[in-house]
Formats: sequence, structure tokens, C-alpha cells
Amino acid sequence: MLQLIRKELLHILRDRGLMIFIIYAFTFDIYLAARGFNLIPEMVSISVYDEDKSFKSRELVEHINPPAFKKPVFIDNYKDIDKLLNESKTVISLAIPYGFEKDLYKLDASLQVLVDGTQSSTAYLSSAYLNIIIQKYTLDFLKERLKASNITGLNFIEARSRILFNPNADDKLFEGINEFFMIITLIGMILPAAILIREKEYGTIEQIMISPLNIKKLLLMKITASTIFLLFLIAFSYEIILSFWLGFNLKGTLLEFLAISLIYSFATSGLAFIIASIAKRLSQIGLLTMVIFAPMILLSGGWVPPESLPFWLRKMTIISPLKHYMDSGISLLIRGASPEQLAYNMIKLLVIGIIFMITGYLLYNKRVIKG
Amino acid sequence: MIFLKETLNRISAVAIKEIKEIVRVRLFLMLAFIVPFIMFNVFSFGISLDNENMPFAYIDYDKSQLSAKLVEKFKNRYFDLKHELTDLKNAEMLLSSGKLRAVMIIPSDFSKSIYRGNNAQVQFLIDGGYPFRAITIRGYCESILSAFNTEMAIKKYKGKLLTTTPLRVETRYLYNESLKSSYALVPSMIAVILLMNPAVLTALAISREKEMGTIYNIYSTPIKKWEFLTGKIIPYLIISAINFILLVITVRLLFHIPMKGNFIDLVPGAIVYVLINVSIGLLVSSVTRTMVAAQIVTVIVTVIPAFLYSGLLVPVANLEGGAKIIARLYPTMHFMKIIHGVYLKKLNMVDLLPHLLFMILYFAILFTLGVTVFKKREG
Repeated sequence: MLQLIRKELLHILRDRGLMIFIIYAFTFDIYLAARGFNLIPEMVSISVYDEDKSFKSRELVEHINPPAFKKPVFIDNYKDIDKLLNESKTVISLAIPYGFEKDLYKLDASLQVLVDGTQSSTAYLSSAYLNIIIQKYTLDFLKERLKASNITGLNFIEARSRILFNPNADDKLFEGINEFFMIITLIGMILPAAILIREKEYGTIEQIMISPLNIKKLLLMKITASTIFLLFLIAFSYEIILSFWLGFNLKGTLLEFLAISLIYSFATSGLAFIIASIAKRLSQIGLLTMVIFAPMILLSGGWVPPESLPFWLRKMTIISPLKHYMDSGISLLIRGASPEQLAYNMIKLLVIGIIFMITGYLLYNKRVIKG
Repeated sequence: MIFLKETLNRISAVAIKEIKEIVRVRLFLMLAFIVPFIMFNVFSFGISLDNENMPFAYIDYDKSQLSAKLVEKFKNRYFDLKHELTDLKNAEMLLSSGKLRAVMIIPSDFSKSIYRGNNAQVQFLIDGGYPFRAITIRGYCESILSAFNTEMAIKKYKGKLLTTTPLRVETRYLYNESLKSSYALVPSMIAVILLMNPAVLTALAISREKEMGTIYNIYSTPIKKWEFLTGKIIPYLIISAINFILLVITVRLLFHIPMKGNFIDLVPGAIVYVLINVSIGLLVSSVTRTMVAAQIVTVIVTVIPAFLYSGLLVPVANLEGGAKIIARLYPTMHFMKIIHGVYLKKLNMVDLLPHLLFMILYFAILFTLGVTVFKKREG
């Protein structure tokens, strides 16, 4: 038995192409995703067309500061706003009309904000940032004005927002962990599929059929070997890349995370059986995996909030193993949830895994062993 | 003239052989058309960055008319106002298990402070599990609150000092008036799909000959290197052209996204862009030996720049230093600008000419490099 696991592990280790990919995926790829992706706009490029050139207009512009915005680019022609936005040189423009200061003292002023709507991730948040700056400026001005005319009693409701679990809303932490889940899923499917298909491709499966070895036992050993290897990779990446190199402060213990990953590996191995039944050659695994992987990402909740999906897709997230894994993983690693809170999700994940496993095995049995 | 004819003969021979090979491996043929189609749809549905229906709850310790009015403001398409909670512990539990995205806490002295002439405070607890969503939700909450403040102020001083909002901000989202992220993202996905698919397929085409040993046939024929490579890429150009048209139709019919500009203005960019990506595939397969390695390297060199440095998720205008230079050096950004220009900004070919010229230059360099690196002998 142990001999068989050792044989499969050696097979994996000696496949140079696969190993390079696996090592890259679990190290640099996660690092790059954490460092490179930042959906939260910072240093947004902004242009200002100040027609009024008054004290008040300059005072307002002085409130536009890093880190939310870059230093504003001043332009002196309304047409240039269009030009800059057309060429995507700036994301947002503020136009201050002539007579702004005068109107402001009359408490009846207006401003124009133009946003490049093609920059979807940034457009809304940049205009929200700018709006909040303007609103704050307005309220301060109003207070000052009322004080001057001896009116008191203007009160406001202040928002005290607290972002829990990740107080600075550091996107690196999320993007790194999100990519970590993607890689676990991808390798969790490719690795067992590659092991399962190799015998088929080399024709050694015929040898095994006539050997006294029980084929079910062999398959079990193959899956065990790839799962052991996967868990080792997860532990390595968790400790070395996420905790050490990226310096993430992860909640939950490694052991807890390995436990939920083990449950998740039932589902990915089941899918690997399905892939290995359909693919004819090792080189076809890559593209087939992508076909299965893409819908899993959509339904995972990592990219698009599940609440914002159309109704029927939202219902389908129930059968997506990555969704349950991701929910539990984020709860464990970022939110620091207790194991009891995750139990319900884990049971769902286990049931899905067993169903995938049985389907995959039956398919493999029909198409590869008997076929 | 005879030389030209022979050259054309040799190129078409390779192209026809390649087409036959593609058509005869049915799985490969399927993957060539179905994979990009599925990927496109999944990413296009999946990449929506609109945050709506966020599960939201509140704790109202005040239970006044004013607090009820404030809660009422959160009944909109951004929030899915779940229910009133009674204690903080329960709220934190629901946040940490991901059942709620945000909770508003109205303190017991909320309305009293306002009537007494002090500022009142409202607390928002927001789930930081997904930072982009957290920041967006904070933006929603603070905008709703500041609108509520202004409304209160106007009511209080109506007729005395204020008649309307003291400073109105008129915000216009150009090119995408309703600010649907899909309007910008879905057409952009054409650039992502047309990057990966032709590159991977071409990389496979050459490494397949290497792996199976049929490349030796080529080594021993009089065909020139560039003729062989040109013949090799023609079928993939045809496949990509069909895919391109299919994707444009999908954008229109399935996602209902109108094209403000003209389709014709998009075509030259698409052709050059596909030529570039096919050349990337050629270059990769010239240096790798097996099909698996060729696939892996191609995915690595294409996917990351497509997502990171193309302006798909982070606007190129916001990038700094090195990242800005990298973005300009990769072709995806240029094609994405052409797509945005035609789809949303109603620009024409002349406006977009600099991007097209850059891409043509890029292709010329890449193809020459591919021909130079490709060896027509062993070793």
C-alpha cells in the first residue's frame, strides 16, 4: 500500500513541467495576485477646471488630497475635460463654474463632476470619495455661515464606520487569500486528473488490469497520494508565502485550515475523475479543467457578490463546492470564526464532495476501466 | 513570379494540413470554440462589480420617529434590509459567519442629542472579509447619511436661510450613464479571451509536432521558416476571427450591450491584436519542448498582464511608475482602449490610430523574433 503511494508521489515529483507549474502557482502567483490586484481605488487621477478662480474654489480644491486622489491636474479650457477623459488620462473631472464663490455665500451654488464611466471599478468609488469631500466642505461652510448670522442648533448625524476583521480594508490580504483558494482548486483538480490519466496515456493501465492488484485499491491510493501532496503544498504556502513572505496575520490555525481543505479535496478529486474520464491525453487536461473551473469561480462569491447574482444563479451557488470552501475559509482566516460556526457549511461541502466522488468514479469506471 | 507562387503553395500546404488536423481531432475543435465562449460568458457574468442587495440589519436602541426615518432610507436596491436585531453579540456572530455584510447601530440617545442641539452618532459595522465590498458599502452608508443630514437641515431652516441644498453636485458618468459595470467590463472581456485562446492554441500546434516527432518532416523539406510559421498561424487566425464575431454577437444579444461606435472601426484592431497573440504562442512554442509546458508558459505570460496591466480592473491612469510602463508595453491595454473607444466613447479609427500603429509595430517585432528563435534543425 505504502509502496503504491510512494510510486505515485515519485511520479508527480519527476514530472518537471507539472512541478514547475505547481511551484509557481503556490508561490509567485499568489504573491503577484496579492501585490498586483488592488480593486480599491487609490491615487485616482483627477483634473480640475476652475473657472471661478476665487478663494473659496481654491479652498475646496485643497481638500482633494492623497491617498484617495493624486494631485489634481489644472486645466483652463472646458474642452480639455472631454479630451482628457476621452483619452483615459484622468478618471474624474471637477468643473467649478464662474461665480461659484458668490453663489456659495447665497447658499445656492453648484458644481459639476464628470466621471469616466468606462472605468467601472473606480468610477463609483472615486465619485463617492469626491462627493464626501464636497459634502463635508459644504457642511463646514454652512456651520460657519450660521454662526456668523447667530443661528445655532444646526446638528448633524455623524457616521462612525468600523470595518471589522480587516480594519484598513487592506485588499492585499483578500486578494492573496482569494488567489490561494483558486490555486488550491486548480491544482486540486489537475493533480489527481494527471495521475489518473497517465496510466491511460502510457497504456500501463492494461498491465494493471491483468495484475493481481485490485483496481479500486489502486485508484484509492492514487487519490490519497495526490491529496497528501496537495495538503503539503497548502501547508507550505500558508506558512511560507502567506504568513511569512506576505506577512499576513491569519486567524484560525493551520490545522483547522487543513481540515477544511481535506473535506474540500473530496469535491475536487471527484471533478478530477470526471476530467480524466473525458480527456484523451495529458495535454487536454488543461483546457478541460478551465471549462469546469470558470463556472466554479463565478459561483464562488469571491469575484462577484453572490447577493448580486441573478436569482437562478444565486440558487445554483448551493452546489458549488468552491462557494462553501471560500465562505468557510474567509470566515476562518480573515474573520476568525469558530469551528462550530463553520460546521454547517462543512457538512454541505462533504455531501457535495461525496456526490462528485461517486459520479466521477462511475464515469471513470465506465469510460476508462471498462471502456 | 514563380518564387511567389511556390511560396504561396508551400504556405497553403501547411495551412491546409493544419486545418485538417484541427477538424479531425474533435475534442480539440470543440475546445477551440467552446472554451472561449464559456470563459467569456462566465467572466462576463462573474466580473460584475456592482454591489446590490447587500444583506443589512440594524439595531435601534432609540426607537424614535427619527431613527425609524433613518432606517427607512436604507430600503433601496443597494441593501437587502434583513431585520431588526436586538443585541450586539448576535450581530457580530452574523457578521463573522458572513450572513450579514453590514449592521447599523443607532444609540439610545440618538434623537435626544439631536433635539438637545448636539451632534448624534450612528455606528456602522461592516464585514471586512471582502475589502472592495466593505469600502463600497461604507461609501453607500455615508452618502445616505449625508443626504439625510442635508434633508434635515433644509427642513429646519426652510424659508429662513436655506431653500435648497446649499451646494449641489451634478455628477455625470460619461460614456456609461447608468454606471453599469457590465457596460465596460463585458466588451473588455473580448480582449482577454482573444489574448488567451489564440496564444494557447498556436503554442499547442507547434509543440504538438515537436512532441509527436512530425516536426522532423518539416526539417527535411525546402519550406522556409517564415513560410512554415505563416502557414501554421492561418487556421488559428480563422478560428479567432470566427470567435471574435461570435463574441461581438454575444455581447449584443446575450448581454444587451449596445455598440455606440461602428463595428468596422473595431475590425483592424482585432486583426492585429489576434496576430500579436498568435505570435506570442509561436514564440513560446519555439522555446518549449512539450505541449504541457507550452500551455503552462503561455497561460502565465498572457493571463497576468491581461488582468493586471490592461486597465481591466485598475485604470491605467491610476498606475504609478513601473506598472505604468509595463501597461503601455503590453498590447492588451491598447486593444482595450480601442474596444472602449468603439463601444462606449463613439470614437472612430482616426481617433484610435496611435493604438493601432503601436500594435502593428508590436506584431512586426514579435513575429520576426518568433522566426529568428524557431530552429529548423535539431539542437
